[in-house]
Amino acid sequence: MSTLILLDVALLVTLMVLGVPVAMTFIAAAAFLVIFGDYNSTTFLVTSGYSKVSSVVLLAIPLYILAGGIMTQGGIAKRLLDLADSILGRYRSGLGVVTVITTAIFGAISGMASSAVAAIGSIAIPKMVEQGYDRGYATSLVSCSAVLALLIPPSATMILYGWVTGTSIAACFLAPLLPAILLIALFSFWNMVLTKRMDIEVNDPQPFKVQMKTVFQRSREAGFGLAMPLIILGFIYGGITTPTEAAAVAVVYALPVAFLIYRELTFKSFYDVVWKSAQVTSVLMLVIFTANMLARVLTLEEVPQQILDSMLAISSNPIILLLLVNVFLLMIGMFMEDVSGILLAAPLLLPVVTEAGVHPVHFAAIIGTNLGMGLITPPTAPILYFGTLIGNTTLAKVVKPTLVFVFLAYFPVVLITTFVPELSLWLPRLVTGI
Amino acid sequence: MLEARQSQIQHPIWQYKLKIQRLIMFIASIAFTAAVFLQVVTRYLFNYSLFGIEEFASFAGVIMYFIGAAYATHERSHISASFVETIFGEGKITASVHAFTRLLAFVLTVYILFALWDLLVFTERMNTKSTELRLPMLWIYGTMFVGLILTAFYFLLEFYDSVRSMIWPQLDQEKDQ
Repeated sequence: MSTLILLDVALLVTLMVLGVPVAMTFIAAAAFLVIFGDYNSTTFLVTSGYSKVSSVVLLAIPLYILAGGIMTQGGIAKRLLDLADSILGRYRSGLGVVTVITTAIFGAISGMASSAVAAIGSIAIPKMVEQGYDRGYATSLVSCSAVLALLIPPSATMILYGWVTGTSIAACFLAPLLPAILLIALFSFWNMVLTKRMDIEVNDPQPFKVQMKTVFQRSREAGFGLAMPLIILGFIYGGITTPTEAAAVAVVYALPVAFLIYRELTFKSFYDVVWKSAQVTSVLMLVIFTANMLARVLTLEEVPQQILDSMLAISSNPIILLLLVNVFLLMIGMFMEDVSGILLAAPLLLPVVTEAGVHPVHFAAIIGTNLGMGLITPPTAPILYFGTLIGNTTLAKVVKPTLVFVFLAYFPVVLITTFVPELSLWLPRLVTGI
Repeated sequence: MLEARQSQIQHPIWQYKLKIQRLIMFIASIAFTAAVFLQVVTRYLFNYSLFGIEEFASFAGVIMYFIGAAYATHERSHISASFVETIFGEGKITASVHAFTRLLAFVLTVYILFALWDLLVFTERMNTKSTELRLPMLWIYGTMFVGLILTAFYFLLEFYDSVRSMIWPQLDQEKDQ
């Protein structure tokens, strides 16, 4: 690769490490190439950014965030936890498994890992601590499970991937679903192993009839929230609407549920939840706007081709290439959050993985699992840091169980997802016929 | 130490400015949600597509993104991954680095503002209109310009706060007490 590009990468990483807002680091990297490259004008930076953020496809992201925000304000998190607790709570490690499953489902509803940590963590962590779970462990479990939001449809990360690479979003939604289920199973298994030495108190089991009654009652309460991702997916895979339109339907569905059925949303809190969701979206969109400026300059500088040539110079063996891609993605995931990671890595690495014979839909699952692992892998680990704030604990107490989840759950799933394409392609082929 | 001092400003003009920003974010969100939903209803129930509705929705989205991004700068909720505070903790080093990053963020926003200004001048000269609704593109780019000016302004204020914390850390401690 050219010296200018290497200097640009060094500048990007240095500014990120110093704490310059990610959106601004992309402007800096683009400006560096424009200033030292052969460019007469800077206007193309703005037009390339604008042409992308004004896309109707991208409106799906603010709409999903808004629908998730309304449901969260409506009190869905507590209802989901209560339902899962009524089914699994009487088992020794049950609350841990309940937390994993609820966080995954909530992630699917809200589409954001950070919302899942905030909503589920604030209820589940104190409850787990009360039962005898270690606080650091409880925080780690919630944070690691929250990352499943990237993988369970409808996921904002997969919308972005599909949009950036021109791949079917409906197929991308399904690609990481089986890896996500595998992760849920592994988290639940390691939860049982890791909690063996903890002094956990479990409620006395209720008679079967009483328990069934409780499960039925709580299913009815949580059912309206649980139905939301199913409605979204039903509309998309039933061929009724596009993902953006399905997201608008989800917002309209969430309103009567939160206002009239759960009765936890008022007009004042509705106003607040709308502008706060808008603020969350705007932060992401500014990143998308500036990442597209950088992507445009990188394309003009033929960086994707340079990366392909550099990797092929190391090896043309597809297995080695895919391992290199995994290392590259893990490093990106450790320094950036998922949105920036997808925007930067997907267009740069797609030529490399295509050369290795990887289907773009399969790559959606590879990139999703890798960036997800990066979100909880120190040193950056933004979701883990956020989890410590919610769990009121320190990073030192969270790191040890997190490393267990990373190395014994996430890492094997990343490798299986990479080297067993059928795990990611079977479901999209079955449903969308790719 | 580096908490938002802007949130403590009670001047009516400052507060109205924030209220207007929140209102624009609210109206724009409702507008594009309603537009996309209306499209679903008309297309799938009445088999009729409303002309220009997608363009309207995407314009409302762009307005929300840029006004919202400015508000997020005021709230200091932009995504960043600093190791400095983790390594050095709160103190002069962190405050100095924070001041530098905010000054740089301000300069970079101004850099993009210059590029956007060139585009605004060009759009005004050519009287460019949108493809479907024939709306002047100057309005949309103008909103982006306003959003980015506010973003630059908030970065500058944050830079000022960081410099203050760096030079007179005791002022922050007294205020916190």
